[in-house]
Amino acid sequence: MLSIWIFLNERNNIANLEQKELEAKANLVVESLNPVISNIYYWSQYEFTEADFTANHHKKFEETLGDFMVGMNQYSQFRLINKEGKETFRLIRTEDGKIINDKILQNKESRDYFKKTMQLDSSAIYVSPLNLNREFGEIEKPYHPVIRGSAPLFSEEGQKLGIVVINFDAKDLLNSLNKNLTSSFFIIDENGNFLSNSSQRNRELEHFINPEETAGFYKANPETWKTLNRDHQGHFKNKEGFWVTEKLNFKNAVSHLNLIKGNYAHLESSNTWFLISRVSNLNVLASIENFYLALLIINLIFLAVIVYVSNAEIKHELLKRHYLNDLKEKRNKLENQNILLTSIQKKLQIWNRQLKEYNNIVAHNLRAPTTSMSALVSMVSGSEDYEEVKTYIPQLNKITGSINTLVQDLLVYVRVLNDDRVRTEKLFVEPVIKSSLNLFLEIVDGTVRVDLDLQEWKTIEFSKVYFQSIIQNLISNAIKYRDPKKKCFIKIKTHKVNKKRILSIEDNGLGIDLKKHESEMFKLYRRFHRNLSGRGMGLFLVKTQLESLNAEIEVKSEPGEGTIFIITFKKIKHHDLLSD
Amino acid sequence: MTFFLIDDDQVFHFITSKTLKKINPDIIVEKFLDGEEGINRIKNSLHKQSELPDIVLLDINMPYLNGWGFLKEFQTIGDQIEKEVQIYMLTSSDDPEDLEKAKKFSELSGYIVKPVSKEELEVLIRNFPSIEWFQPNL
Repeated sequence: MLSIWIFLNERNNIANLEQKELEAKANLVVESLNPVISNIYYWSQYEFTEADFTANHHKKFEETLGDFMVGMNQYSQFRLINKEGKETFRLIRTEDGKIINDKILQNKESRDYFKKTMQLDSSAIYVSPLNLNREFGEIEKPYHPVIRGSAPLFSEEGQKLGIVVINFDAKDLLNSLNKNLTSSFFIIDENGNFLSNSSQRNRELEHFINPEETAGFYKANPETWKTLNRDHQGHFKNKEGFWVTEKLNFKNAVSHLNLIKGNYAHLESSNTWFLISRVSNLNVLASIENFYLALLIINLIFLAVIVYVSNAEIKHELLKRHYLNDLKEKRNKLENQNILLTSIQKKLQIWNRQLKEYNNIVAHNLRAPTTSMSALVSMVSGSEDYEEVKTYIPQLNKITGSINTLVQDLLVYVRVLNDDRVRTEKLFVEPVIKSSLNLFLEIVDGTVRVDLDLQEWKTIEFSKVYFQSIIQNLISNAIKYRDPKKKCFIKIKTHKVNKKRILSIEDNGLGIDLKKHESEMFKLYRRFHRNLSGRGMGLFLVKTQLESLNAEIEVKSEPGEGTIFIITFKKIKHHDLLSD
Repeated sequence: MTFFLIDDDQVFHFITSKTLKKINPDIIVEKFLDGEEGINRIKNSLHKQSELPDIVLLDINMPYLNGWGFLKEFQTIGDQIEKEVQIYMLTSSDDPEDLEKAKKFSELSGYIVKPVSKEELEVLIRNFPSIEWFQPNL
């Protein structure tokens, strides 16, 4: 944005400078032509006689005119032409600068400047368009661009005698106008012909040299030409370029001369020139090159700083992210390990408790019969009365019976404890529960109603054998400890709490006083209901089996109201890790 | 002298009562298969304290009401008992947790690991009523 602004600003600056330059050039043209006008005026007032228009009878002028021509370097010819168009006096400047009186006079009656001047009145001065000099009807070579100043001459009696003509050699003027150019410079006349063309010198004055193939300014830049003809001044931009123009109307330009202002003479001239500069963008760029360079360097420095800073930032950010990722990974690892450890710890706690339980069973339940046995044996050996010894036999039978039962129960228990690699499978709970229900007569004959609500979840990863055993034990308990005074039911329901699968088995049976028995509920050989058969093995086995597969069981009960067992299953994981 | 044997082990009942009879045929032995039976018998005798036992041998592990449960029930009726009743905890294991627990019950007079020998029973009888904690073989 800044660079565009600088560009436009600089182009404006250049346009303004160029405008001044063009004004100066226009002034130079006017200043150069001023002497011609003054000199012509002088000669138009000169008292010529008819004799002066006789060929080669001008001795009296030769010297004065010769001196006058010497001082005016740009004057190439001074001539008198009679009213028939024949030259009667002809001073020329030769190539080497000498002034000579050319005796070879020519007829100019067909030339424009002659015709035009002859029609003018006594106070008129004519300035011709820029032209190429012709001698004997042919364009002189090398080309001599000339502007002719002329005026009609009258005798004292007011009789028209002929005309006076000064040829102004425009070569030097054109050269100086084309000096030190910074842009393409053109001078075109009112018809759009090139009078001067800095970029294509061969186009200059082509309308004289090669009128058939002339390609003037109007052809190369038609749009600009149109704009110029609409009397547009100053600078403007179109698709043909960026233009600075100055219009030079000769008549207007000399109006400030005393001669004209004071009405001593008036100028006849159709000359209207356009002085034109085409400012190329390259020029503008060239002039602000350093500016741009500085801007570029500053930008580069900024860019470098930004790149450096952002690079550092990115590196920092990457490092940070890397570090954070590392931390996250480590944390995840730690968390996983923590979860693993927690699960292992829990499992170990369970194992520890189970081992204690086992120890307890062995200590109490196995030791009791063996100590009794040894006591009995010592009593037998201490007795001499056979009749007395006979009474010991049933006692010994009782002991061996209880030891057998205990050993069998222990085997079941130990099998569960050792069964770390118990086979689990994805099992559908409904068919397993239904097949278990069919084992109980009280359910089949309708003594106990069973409500199943197994919609919330239907499958579980678990051991089928354990699941069957657990369900059978709990249903068996519910039936065994039902309240015969009530219409009995068992509700079995699956649901979820905190994404964990819950299985609840509820009855409206006798219930149990948990304040007394809660800590004993799931222990071996605990019985809580008098007069009802029960070995105290069922709940103990249920809990052991559940714990071996990471599940938990809890109980809620009110005496006389009923009991609900709530089993919470957890994902079986890290289980294999513990097998060793 | 009256003994209450509270234990679900009938062989223990047999052996102990036999041993007690040998020591002194006049000793009265009452047998209960669980804590509930035992405490009910005591509660029923509160109005006739002479029927209360002198010595109770109490097993820990029993159905319906275990030894600890019995002791808690006994505490609730403790101030209604005027007779000197000495309770000894019996256990088939030498579990130190049980021993610690036992020592916290002021109602207990000792802790005996099964089997209970004739000599130990003789000490109990001879020293009755004892103010010392009785804990043989430990």
